[in-house]
Amino acid sequence: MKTLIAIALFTLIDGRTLQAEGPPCSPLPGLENTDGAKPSSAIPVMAPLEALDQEAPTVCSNPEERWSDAYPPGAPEVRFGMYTDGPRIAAGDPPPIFFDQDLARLDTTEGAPVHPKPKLLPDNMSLMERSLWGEGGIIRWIGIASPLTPEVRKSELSVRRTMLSIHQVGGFVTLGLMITAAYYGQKYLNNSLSSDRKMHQTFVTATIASYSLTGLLAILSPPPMIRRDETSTTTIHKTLAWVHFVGMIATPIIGNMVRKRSGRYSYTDLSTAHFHQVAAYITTGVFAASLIVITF
Amino acid sequence: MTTNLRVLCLLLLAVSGVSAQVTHLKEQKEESSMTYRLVHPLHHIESTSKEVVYDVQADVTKREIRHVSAWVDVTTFDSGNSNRDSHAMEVIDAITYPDAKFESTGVSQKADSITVKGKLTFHGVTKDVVALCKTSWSGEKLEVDGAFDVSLTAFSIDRPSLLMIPVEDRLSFSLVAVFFLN
Repeated sequence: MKTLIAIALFTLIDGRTLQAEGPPCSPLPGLENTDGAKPSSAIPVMAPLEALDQEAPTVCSNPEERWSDAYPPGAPEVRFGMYTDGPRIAAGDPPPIFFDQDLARLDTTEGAPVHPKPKLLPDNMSLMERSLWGEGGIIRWIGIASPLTPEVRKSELSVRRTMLSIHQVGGFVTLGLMITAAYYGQKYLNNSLSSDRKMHQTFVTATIASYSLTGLLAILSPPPMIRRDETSTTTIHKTLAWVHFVGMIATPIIGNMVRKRSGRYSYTDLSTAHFHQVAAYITTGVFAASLIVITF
Repeated sequence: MTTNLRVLCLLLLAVSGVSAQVTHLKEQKEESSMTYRLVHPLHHIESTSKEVVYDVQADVTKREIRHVSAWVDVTTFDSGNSNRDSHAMEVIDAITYPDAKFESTGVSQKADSITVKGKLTFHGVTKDVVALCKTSWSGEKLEVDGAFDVSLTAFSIDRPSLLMIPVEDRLSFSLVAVFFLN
């Protein structure tokens, strides 16, 4: 009777069913301990990379107890040190930890899933970004940027932030120069004073320099952390950039054709000048719109 | 024999009282979400994640919530502008701290209003927060709507800026969690 009571109490309070003891679980290849116990928490001898792609052999009596509690059933597979876009093991780095008894320390919320680390490079990189900043990009190949690791990526994102901050300021400076160049160009068309023409040309040169620098800062900046396939203010900003880029090419070319020579004299071809004027105003308007859409 | 039977019955009654009705409720992912709001003089930013994992232990018969925990991958927040979301992830260092977790330390309930006190771990910093929620129990579902505010600087986060103007320090969260009761 006492035995029955004891068994009933154990069943109800403990909540477990009694199971037969089995042999200890077999660890991953390369992580065997001589006594056959679970691998220690020290940095182990690493399993070959191929082991990750194979079903690990086990002789556990309960296969569900093969892994530590940090991998509850149904949790996505975690590969610490493995990055989907980067080299599996960077040269010179210590081997990544594939199995660690202390993984539970990473999970302080009972039952919380353990998820893969964020990808270091976004999915929808442009051709320019992939060519420059991809894993085998030119900037890494020539040694300006280090091979892709989380720390390197963090510093690249910091560089990106700096470049885009200067890009913001450069955009407003360029708009100011562009408006001033248009002002003196209009004055020259109205009065035909050579001083206005010189000021117009000076501000045009400054506009082209500022525009080029501002554009290069955006084009050459490292890619963001994520990029989704979506339509947003950034998409509109980039679309308008193509329009004002064409305008910035065409407007100076037309402007160069305004002054014509006739013998010893040069004169302003008014019909060409008007084409140049319209192209300049459209370019300035589109440029201002691209600023407004991203700022407000 | 009679004494032993009495002892056994008493013990069984005691155990049945202890292990009563507290159950883990399974969330309904499609209807659950978490949203944060950030204010800048030029923009109001709202970003939502539908990948939040909520875990609630509740006494269904008494309609009482006993324990709450939540976990979210910070990269799943979507404001509709991936450039802005990317900036947010840079600011909160999502590479080093890819998730945010909440674990309740106390739940007090008054009618359909509950106050959940707990610890929020965000950007590697753990702070006490208090969330005010409203519960709605139906035959099949439990819906919880709640909100809480945190300070960016309290979690060691540099406030992001646009045109040299930083955002407000307050980060407001609102949550919607729907659970199956069956």
